[in-house]
Amino acid sequence: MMEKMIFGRYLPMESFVHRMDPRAKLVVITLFIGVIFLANNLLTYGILVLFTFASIFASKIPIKFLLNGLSFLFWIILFTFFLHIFFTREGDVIFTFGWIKIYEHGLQQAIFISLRFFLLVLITSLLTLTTSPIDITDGMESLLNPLKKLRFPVHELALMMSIALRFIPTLMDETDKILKAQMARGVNFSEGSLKKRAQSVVPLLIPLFISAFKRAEELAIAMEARGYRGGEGRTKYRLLKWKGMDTLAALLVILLGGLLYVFRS
Amino acid sequence: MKSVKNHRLHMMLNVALFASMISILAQITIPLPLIPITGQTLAIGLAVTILGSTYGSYAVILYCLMGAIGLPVFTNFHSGLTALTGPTGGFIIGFIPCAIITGIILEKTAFRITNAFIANIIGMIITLIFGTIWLKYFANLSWTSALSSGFYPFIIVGLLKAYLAAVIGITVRNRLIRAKLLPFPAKRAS
Repeated sequence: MMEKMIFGRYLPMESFVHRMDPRAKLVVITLFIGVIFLANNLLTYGILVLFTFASIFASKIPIKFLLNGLSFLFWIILFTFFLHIFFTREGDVIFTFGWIKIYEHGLQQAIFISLRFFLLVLITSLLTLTTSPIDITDGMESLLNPLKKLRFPVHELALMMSIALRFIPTLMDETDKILKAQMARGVNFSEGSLKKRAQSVVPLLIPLFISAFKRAEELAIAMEARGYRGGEGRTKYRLLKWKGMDTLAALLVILLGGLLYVFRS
Repeated sequence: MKSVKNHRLHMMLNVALFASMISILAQITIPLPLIPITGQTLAIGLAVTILGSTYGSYAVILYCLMGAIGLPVFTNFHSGLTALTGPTGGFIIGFIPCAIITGIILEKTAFRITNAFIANIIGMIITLIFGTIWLKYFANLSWTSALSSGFYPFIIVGLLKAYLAAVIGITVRNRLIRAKLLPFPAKRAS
């Protein structure tokens, strides 16, 4: 449980996609999510598949690894597939077996919608596989910067996010410790009636929350003591650099959108 | 005496820690036949019950953002934008209005167990409505199939979670206020 949490799904490697500016990657993904809904026939879906696999290839992430991480989504995709195939009743009947009737339109719908979902998953997981969470946070902060004019607390949000990230493993350790301590005192978390199990959560949660709040208090004092004054005039240790290839990638997605718009039926 | 700025920083840190707490609790499951109780909704209910509307919803928004940037914080280590844009994304987005409304109800009444129970039930229904509507349009389902796969199965478990969130949330809140760790008992209407 711990290992999965700490490392997230980031896979540090050396590739074109890894070297891209996190801001560019966020822009590309946002555009792609809009573009994907333009596809509605075989040709446009073909272009999308091509684009997706080209980006996977450019990231050098092994396809097997990518698919492994998606095993949980397999069931959701299968679920939507079957819902469409059985509940869309338009077009010609192409297959009958007892009471099951599969319609042409249903089959088409099922394939396209599952495919759209699958591609969406592939592209977005590419972002998290090639960019460390801290980089994404930085990218987000910088992209949301214009919102500061509207008094939206961009810097605070980014700070809270990095602190939350940093404390997940710590609190995880703590949960583990409290769990063991309470088990040693005879609390049984995995057996008994529903009421018993619900009750057993209480001695786990109360100390956990109290220790978390204590940590927040200590951290606040420590930050105050070191002169933290909020976002104004703060400089950055790691600077983001927008390069030519980032512009290129963004343009590529816009081109993709144009292609789909032309070829959609 | 604590300055205003210090109070703000303090609450920011509380929100941050709560967001990581939600991520951890989302991984804890109490195994039950049919539908297991996951800690995700429970933790959201707790966040709002303990922190109130404003900070509770900040914590929930932060949690959703953390999931969006690809940390495996959603139940069963799901993560990424796909978790938000996928067919079940509505349930996660629905946490935000759920947190805001539950918190407002609690602040307008009082932080007591019965109120918290009712507020959490309303919040749960909001989440489920959001999730179901999203599911319907995303997967092009009919209303009946969307309701039977996204709404009905979760009601009983949801009631149980609302009860747990109310009892634990209020208990923890009172403890924290007593320990002077929660620096905003001002909104305590009683």
